[in-house]
Amino acid sequence: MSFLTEFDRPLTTDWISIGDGDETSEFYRKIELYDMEWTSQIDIENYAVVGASYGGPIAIIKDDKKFLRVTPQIPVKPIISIFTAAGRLISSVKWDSGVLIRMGWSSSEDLLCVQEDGNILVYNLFGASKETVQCLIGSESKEKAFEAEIFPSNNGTGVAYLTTKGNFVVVNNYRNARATKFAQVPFSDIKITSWTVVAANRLTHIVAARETSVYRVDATQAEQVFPEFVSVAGMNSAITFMAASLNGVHIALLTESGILWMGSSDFGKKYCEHTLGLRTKPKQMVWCGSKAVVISWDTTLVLVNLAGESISFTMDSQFALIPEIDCVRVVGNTTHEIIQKVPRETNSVFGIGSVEPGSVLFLASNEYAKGSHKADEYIRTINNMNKAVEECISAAGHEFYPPTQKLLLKAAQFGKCFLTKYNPEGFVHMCQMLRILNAVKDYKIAIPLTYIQLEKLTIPVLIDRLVMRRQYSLAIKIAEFLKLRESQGRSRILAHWACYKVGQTHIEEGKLADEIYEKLKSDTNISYSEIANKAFEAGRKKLALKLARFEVRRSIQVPLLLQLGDKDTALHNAVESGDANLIYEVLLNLRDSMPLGQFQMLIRKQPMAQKLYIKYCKIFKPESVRDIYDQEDDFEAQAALFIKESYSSQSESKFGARLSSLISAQEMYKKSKNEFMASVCEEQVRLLKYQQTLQQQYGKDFIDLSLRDTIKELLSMKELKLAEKLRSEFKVSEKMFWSIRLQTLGEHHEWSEVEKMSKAKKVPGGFEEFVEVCLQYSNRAEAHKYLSRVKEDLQVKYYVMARYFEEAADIAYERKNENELLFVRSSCITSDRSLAEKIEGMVTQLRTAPPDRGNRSSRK
Amino acid sequence: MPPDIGLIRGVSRENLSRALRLKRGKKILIIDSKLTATLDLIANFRFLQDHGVEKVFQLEKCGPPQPIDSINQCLYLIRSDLMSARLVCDQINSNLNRNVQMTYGVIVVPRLLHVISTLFESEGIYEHVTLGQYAYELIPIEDHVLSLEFDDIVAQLWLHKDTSYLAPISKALFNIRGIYGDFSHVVAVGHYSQNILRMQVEYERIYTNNLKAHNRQESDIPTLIIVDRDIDFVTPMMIPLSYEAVLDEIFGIKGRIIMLGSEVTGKEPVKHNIPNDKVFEKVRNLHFSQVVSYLIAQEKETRRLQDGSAGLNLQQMKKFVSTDLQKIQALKKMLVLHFGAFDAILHHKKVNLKKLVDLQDNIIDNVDNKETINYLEDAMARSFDATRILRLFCLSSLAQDGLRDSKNLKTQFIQSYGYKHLITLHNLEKMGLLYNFKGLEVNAKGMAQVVTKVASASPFSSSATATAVGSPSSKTVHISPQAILKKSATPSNIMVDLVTANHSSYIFNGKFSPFVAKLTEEVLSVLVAPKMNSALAERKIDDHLKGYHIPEKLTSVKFKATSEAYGRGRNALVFVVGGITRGEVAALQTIGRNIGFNIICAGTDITNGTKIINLATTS
Repeated sequence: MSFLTEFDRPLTTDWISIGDGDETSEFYRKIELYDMEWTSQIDIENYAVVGASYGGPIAIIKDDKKFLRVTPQIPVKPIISIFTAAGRLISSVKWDSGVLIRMGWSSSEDLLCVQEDGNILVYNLFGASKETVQCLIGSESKEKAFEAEIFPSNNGTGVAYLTTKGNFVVVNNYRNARATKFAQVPFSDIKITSWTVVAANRLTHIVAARETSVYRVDATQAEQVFPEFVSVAGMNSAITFMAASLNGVHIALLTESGILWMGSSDFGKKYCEHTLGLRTKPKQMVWCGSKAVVISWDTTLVLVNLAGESISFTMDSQFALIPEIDCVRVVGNTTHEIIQKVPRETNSVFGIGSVEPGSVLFLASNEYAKGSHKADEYIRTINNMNKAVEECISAAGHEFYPPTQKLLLKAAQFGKCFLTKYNPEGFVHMCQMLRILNAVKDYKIAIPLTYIQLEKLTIPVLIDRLVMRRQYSLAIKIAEFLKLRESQGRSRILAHWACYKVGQTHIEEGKLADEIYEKLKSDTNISYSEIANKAFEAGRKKLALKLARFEVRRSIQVPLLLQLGDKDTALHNAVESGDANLIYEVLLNLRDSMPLGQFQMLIRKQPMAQKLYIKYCKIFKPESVRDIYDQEDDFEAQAALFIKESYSSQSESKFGARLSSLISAQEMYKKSKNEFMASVCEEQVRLLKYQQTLQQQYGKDFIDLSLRDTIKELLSMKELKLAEKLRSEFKVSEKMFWSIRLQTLGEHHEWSEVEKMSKAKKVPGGFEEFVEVCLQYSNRAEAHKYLSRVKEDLQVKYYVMARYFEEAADIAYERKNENELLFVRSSCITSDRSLAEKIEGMVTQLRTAPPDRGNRSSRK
Repeated sequence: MPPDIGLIRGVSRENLSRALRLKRGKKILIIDSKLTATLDLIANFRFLQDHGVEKVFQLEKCGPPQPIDSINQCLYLIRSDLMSARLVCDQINSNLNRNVQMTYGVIVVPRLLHVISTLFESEGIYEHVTLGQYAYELIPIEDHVLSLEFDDIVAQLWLHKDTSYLAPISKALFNIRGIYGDFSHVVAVGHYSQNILRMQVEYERIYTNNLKAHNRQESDIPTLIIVDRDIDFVTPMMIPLSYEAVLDEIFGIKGRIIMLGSEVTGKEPVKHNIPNDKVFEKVRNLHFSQVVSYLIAQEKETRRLQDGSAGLNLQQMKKFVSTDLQKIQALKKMLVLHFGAFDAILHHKKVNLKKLVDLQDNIIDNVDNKETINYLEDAMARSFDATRILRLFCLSSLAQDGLRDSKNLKTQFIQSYGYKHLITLHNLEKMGLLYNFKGLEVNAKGMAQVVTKVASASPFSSSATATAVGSPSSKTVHISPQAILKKSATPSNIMVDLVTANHSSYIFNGKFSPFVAKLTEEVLSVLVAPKMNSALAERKIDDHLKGYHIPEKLTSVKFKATSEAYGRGRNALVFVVGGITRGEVAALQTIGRNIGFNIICAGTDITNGTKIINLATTS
């Protein structure tokens, strides 16, 4: 175990204590992350360097004046280069827009370049322009941005401008570019010497200094605040530098005379005042987490904590500072380092003379590994093993060097053995996180995150960042390692991969489609249409089509196919889905996008689509429906259409039109060899003609009556002869005619006429009809006349119908028909209860002693 | 344990309130009159008021809306129907022309079709309206009856072949899966049913998480039987003889309300509310002939209760008057109402129930065809209700392989009712409800037909293929109503007792069971059979289906291998695409009782023959 010996020496060699070195003193450590790959090409001295937080990429631009200001006067177009945190070049952007006043990174790792006119040019990691955000910063065109700051706001990334007129304009989220003009800072004759954005809680405000006076500015007001300076040097000199901590809670002010003031961002609290001793204007001042401020000059770096104690570092070359939530990163020509307050747990374990349980456990574990009996001794001295284990686990999280991590985890594992009840979740989680941290820290990926940063960033966002860096394989591995849900992990990453893939124009489309399908086919959550859309956007229609065919959801696939111009498949798939909405969508799209003839040819292949189209036409273009039927040789449908036309055109004047419609219908039926219908139409034409004459003759409405009603109307007008004529002309059956007559008479209560009819030689409908007609027109007495002549087997029923229950019962009884008796009983039971009971008696009697003639007469 | 049907009602209401929020604040609601009854079943007026609705108008009756009391928001609630959408366009356009200051929202039920938004676009009012959609779930009419209230579905599916409704049906069923757990056993019969099942796959893909969240091992409703109406059009053409169905046939039942006319009450017509009627609860499923004896028994009982009060002392009397008397009087009122209804049915002037039942029994038995034709001729001559006549036409067509003497009957029909019914006949033919007798009549012409048939049946004949391609029946897969009738006929070993309603065929006087009922009985029997596994069960049901001579293409049976035989609670959902009849509901309840299952009867609407025929007439 060679590395063990390495740890026999204290691990605290690179720790620097701050303050007096007593019990309460804090330690800071500087750890090297990478040797920069850019060593030979880049000299930080000549560049403006901005890095994204959370171990993000670094963008640099050559800057002769050492000032982030590029003017069009410079003949050579400057180049913005984007590097990984390890100094590997990712991409370069040739800057050929306006005057660049500020460069910075958004929270989603887009490079924002702020121009003098307020516009923000957005580039992705690979130097591709994503968008240009137009931002109105001044009412007049003359007003230009003079300085700008890019800051993390509560809902994204914001940009704050200081205009040439001394106004502050703030955009809280560059994506929606809603600019808020802040209140004017009083005393505009004094130059603003420094300012910074404080984005605490939900509100963003600006702290600005005019020489010695400090103002807190927001959209409504600018109020002066008074940071207390005790020293004379601090009181009377202008404030030249300001920095707010990333969480917006603290603020640091630096005066021209080199006095550093630290306090809360609302100026309610002062932490300390520190005399730096250097009066040169520093290059950068940033917060290191929220516990200290780091100020940099050319090669010197001074760190001041909240207590006003300081330490200084000297670097090999010039460098740039990148603030993080828990540390600061220092990017130099040859190295990329991190300066961090030694975390509490690390201090507990490794601190010199520490007697914390974690420290003892670590020692014990090391002794145990050496096979030394001391291990036992150490273990015995630990009174809180739980705390010891937790400390070791946490300390492991704060280490960057895997062997150290391993040692600490081993110690934790060792300590766990002495605990009876221990929830291993924390341990497992830390192991997982460390694997991920180490994997992404690798110089090929170069995302140097601390454990705290990862917790804040969350795994899904980390996966997003990997995807953005096109590290698909690692992203999938992490997703699978953490067993993330497919829709969040693997599927999503694969979809991104596919979208990236379709942009690779050098690969042949067919091969690409196959390659994508090969990778994605096992995954049910993939939306091929999204990928196809991407392909289409990239101008690769053939590929898009191929991909669209893999889509399973028809409701998404069909519109896509339409967009891609594959009309046949779109229609076919829409019909196959059976969803009328989709079919309509295709139909209307096709109708508008292709010649009518071609359209009709296409839809006739799909009967279902055609039916729907016809239905649509019936409402919007009735005239075109016939064309379709005509084309299809559907004579029946055409005929039906004619008939509808004929009776829907109601008005008198169009009588001729109605006739001709009917005649056309008749022809159509003839064509379709439906002779029956044709003859009905023909008859109808004749009838209509009759009706027209009748209408003129009698001044009554005849048209549109049915044949029966026409006859009836004539009969009630006593036009028997005319009625007879119609009867024979239209071959109305004897029986029907008879019925109509009877009905008409009944309706007019001409009972004597009815009686006359009953005396006719032949009664086609039988006497039942007489009864029914009488009853229909509420003449029970009249009905009684005919009841006796009703067919014998129906008599009981008709007596009941006329509600002569008693007689009905008698007849049934006489016929010894029990069923009929029961029928009478059930019919009268609701209206005549006593009779019903009587009938019950008759039934019993029928069962026991059948009646004879004599009985009946005696009952009467 | 029946599933909690209240859940889906809750979902419907929740979604409705969401839809109403399309226009926040106070608003006028203009509603498609065909939706009012449906909306009543989901939410009351109070609910609408709670969501800012101040006034409700009917789309067809009101003119363009006007701002009332400074309310200038207007919300339309229309069906996804082009005509209604057009009406909305006209109203809004007219307001725009007159410069009436209002804002508009349009909610389309059950979903916003592409054509409708296109229409709004082409009418130039797209930017003036906010469009939304609202799909309610299956609406519980009773605890065991669910409906989608798609009243015109038969016309849409079988006349216009417009499948717009299929997606909402499929979605509603999908949501049932989401709410009550996934189906384990699915039996589907019919073209559209297959389509609906296929659409499920798409929803599964889109809403995969919805389903996963409910992915329980045990489902509340593990069995789904879904059937197309056109497999069995015979049943709706028949008058079923359960009391409820007869009331529906004569007076009409809408939602939960029976429309009782003056002939029943003796006074004004009443809208009789079913849920409040304890008597109806008891008699609804009785065979019509048994209703009166139950009512009499009840009456005697109430009289006895009332008489019992005679010997009471003062204290007891007080109690009696305050509690029991009221109940008795309410009961009496109900009894009087039902006696009235019963009497009105027996002596109905327009509908001779007994005659019609006799006729339909004869038609099913294929006897006394002469008498049937006589009656039809008579009825037409006297201009009886045309719908009843058409129902008998259709029933004859379906049950007897075509309408006999059709030329004569149709001519008389036109002569009596007017030539515009040519379209009605045309429509009925298109829907496959009416066709001429194709069998061979015993005469010379019949002989000639035999000869040609034999000739074309020979495989070498050139005409064989020609006719096969040309005839319309070759395009649509053929279903034989007679074969189905034959299989659903009551087995000879079962004695159907109308008093106890011991067999599902009691609604048709023991002649046959409705197809859905029969199929459900078969499926459930297979499920409860001991030692059954999914493969075996599937095969058994397939065998049953073969017995109906339904083309294999139209049937599908899927049983999940792992799941338990019928899940907990023994619940099954039976869904009829094209509407379930009240007769079928009664028959299914009988089966549920016999096999010990809780059967939930559902359909795109609650239908009957009159409703179906009227769809052919009006459209």
